[in-house]
Amino acid sequence: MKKTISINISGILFHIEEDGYDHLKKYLESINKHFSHYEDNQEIIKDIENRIAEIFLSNLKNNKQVITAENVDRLIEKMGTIADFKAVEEEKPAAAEQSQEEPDNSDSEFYKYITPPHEDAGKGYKKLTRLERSKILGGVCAGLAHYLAIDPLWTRLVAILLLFSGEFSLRNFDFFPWDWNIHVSLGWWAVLAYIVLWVILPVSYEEPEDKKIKKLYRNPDDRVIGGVSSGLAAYFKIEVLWARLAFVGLIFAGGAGLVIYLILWIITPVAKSITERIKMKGGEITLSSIENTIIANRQTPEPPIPPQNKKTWLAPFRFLGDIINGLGKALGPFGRFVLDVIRVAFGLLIFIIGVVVTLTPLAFLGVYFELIINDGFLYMIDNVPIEMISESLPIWLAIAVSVAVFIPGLILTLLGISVIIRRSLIESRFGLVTFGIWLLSIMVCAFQIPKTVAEFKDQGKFTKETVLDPKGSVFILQGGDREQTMDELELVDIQLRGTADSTIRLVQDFKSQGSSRTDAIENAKAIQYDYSVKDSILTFSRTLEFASMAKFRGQNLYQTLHIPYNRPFVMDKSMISILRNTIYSNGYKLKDVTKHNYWVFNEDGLLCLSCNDEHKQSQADSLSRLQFKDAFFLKE
Amino acid sequence: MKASNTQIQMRKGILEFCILHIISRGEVYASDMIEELTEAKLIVVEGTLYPLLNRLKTAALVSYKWVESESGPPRKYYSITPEGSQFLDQLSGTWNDLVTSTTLITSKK
Repeated sequence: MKKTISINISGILFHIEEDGYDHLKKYLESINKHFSHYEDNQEIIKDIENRIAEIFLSNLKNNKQVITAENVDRLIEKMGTIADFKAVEEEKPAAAEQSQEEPDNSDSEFYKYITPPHEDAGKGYKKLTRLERSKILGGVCAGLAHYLAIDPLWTRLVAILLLFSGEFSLRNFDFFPWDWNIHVSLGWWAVLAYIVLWVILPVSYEEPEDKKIKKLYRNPDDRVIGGVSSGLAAYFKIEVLWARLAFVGLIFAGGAGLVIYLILWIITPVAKSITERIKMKGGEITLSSIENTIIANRQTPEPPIPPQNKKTWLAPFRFLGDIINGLGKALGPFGRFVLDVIRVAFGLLIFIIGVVVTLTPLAFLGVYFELIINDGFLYMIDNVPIEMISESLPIWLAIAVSVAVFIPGLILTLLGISVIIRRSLIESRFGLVTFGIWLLSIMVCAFQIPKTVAEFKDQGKFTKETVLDPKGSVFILQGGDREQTMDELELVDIQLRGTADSTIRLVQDFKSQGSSRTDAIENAKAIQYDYSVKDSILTFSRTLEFASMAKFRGQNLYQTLHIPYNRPFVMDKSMISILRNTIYSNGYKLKDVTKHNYWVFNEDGLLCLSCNDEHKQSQADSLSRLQFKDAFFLKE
Repeated sequence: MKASNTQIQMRKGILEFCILHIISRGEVYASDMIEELTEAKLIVVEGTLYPLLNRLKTAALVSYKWVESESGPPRKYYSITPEGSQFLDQLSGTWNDLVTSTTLITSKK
């Protein structure tokens, strides 16, 4: 007794023996593959199928109802094998030669009409070719991926990454003993390499091997709550334990595990049919794999009882699953309605979060590019555009960071919609591609951030000391004109200190970051700062002049004004924003800083001569007060 | 250098010539062609005929029409086009020349 399978060839129904079917299927597949690069391959294949139907019909005479394996073999013999086809093709005389030489042993007998899975293996080496059939541009990436037996997605990603990696300056790496001064633009090399490969690699029309279909399903055979974990485990070919642990672990990561689980539960279908179960585990849907699945299912009519420990830790989840599933059943239509409402609300929530996350980087980019155009902000990214291109960094970094945020937002948005419409909108290919782009942007960040950081690696200081000589017995300190843009950054500081010297000295520490100490000092020297001495008024600008700076490298200025003891002075309110370590540390408040108050330094620090509070009563203070008791300015 | 290689090259052009010739005699069905060609030992397997016919059709040397069949799928009946006839005439001329030339050379001992 033999099992038969019904097939339809050119609209005619045939019953065919199982082993015959196997042969015929492989034969037709190989024919499909062989003619795939012909222009009218569909017509040729149709012609051949018509002929096959005719030959089979002629086999079914005299009350014979079934096409036997023998019939199929004879048909193949009659129609010819791939080797025969190749023999009449002009392009491949070598192949014909080879196949005719092959000894006719039983092994090659069977495989003669199938293109062996590794056709090139027979030649002893793998050949790098351009894959014409699965190309995007020239098929170079696809060919490379085929050669390395990986998904072309990855080679394409690497290519794009190289293309956009921008300028790669070896100068930044200090670990080289000699002084590298090479600028390598990886992007251009990548383009060049691609073109060279495009030119030199031979074209291959070989159909890339069929991807084994794999889809994410929920596994009904091994489930604790919804079968999501075991489905995922099958998808990623990992132990189901890890998938479950990951979910449990992610629950503690701000409940992310719970949310992801719920989303996956709602949008992934249960693998009901045998075909779906095979797809879930990933594999070609062939007769044998179907058979294997059926056998496997029969052999384990009951799920194996989990070991005791596993049962224990899964128990709460199993219980939860029972409750949820039970609730759905018990509540009936009303319950289902409530669940639907909850589902839609949940979906909307996810959707809104997604939209917000998506819009944030867009807004950021908008502001970012607005800043570039606005002249007042030029210092942010060097001198646009020449500097920008040579540095190439901030813009790429900004884009990469935006993409890195944008993609999870997009996915969240789609997931939200998926939850609402109860159908997964995210195909595995789309998912992989976006995940790839996301990884890429993370990589760009990882690649660019150290470069940025390297520019800030070393700190340099440059000190300038000046003697100031304001006229008059009392001098006045005031802040310069306020520039509206930069005052928040507080890059200019000034500290007042007393000194036993007789001159007023201004010590300015210009500080900057840079890629090296020398570079940092250079940057520090480039800082421009204005102060002026006019009669008795010392005016200190409250900002650094950024327009004159080549690059923003964290420049700042720390000044110390050394004031001789018992030299009275007035501080204007405009000084407050740049004063550091002066008022509070000497026991005064900011409200004491007005142009009506007179101050002096003595050995014990700052003293306000005209303030009302009498809290400072050290000997030095008393002496100071005594000295200025009759001063003209206190008489007012 | 393998003899088979040269044989394939020789047979290829002749095969097209013969197929055109068969079609030029009137409407003909692929299976009948196959019979004749197999008998003449020009082709060994049927599968190789279809790509050839397709190529001739694409080159507009032959055309076909569908004819319903009582037993089995509809059949394609091929016939030669005016261009095909012209082409065949050229081939015939070349073939006759070739035969003459070949005989001239191979007959000498």
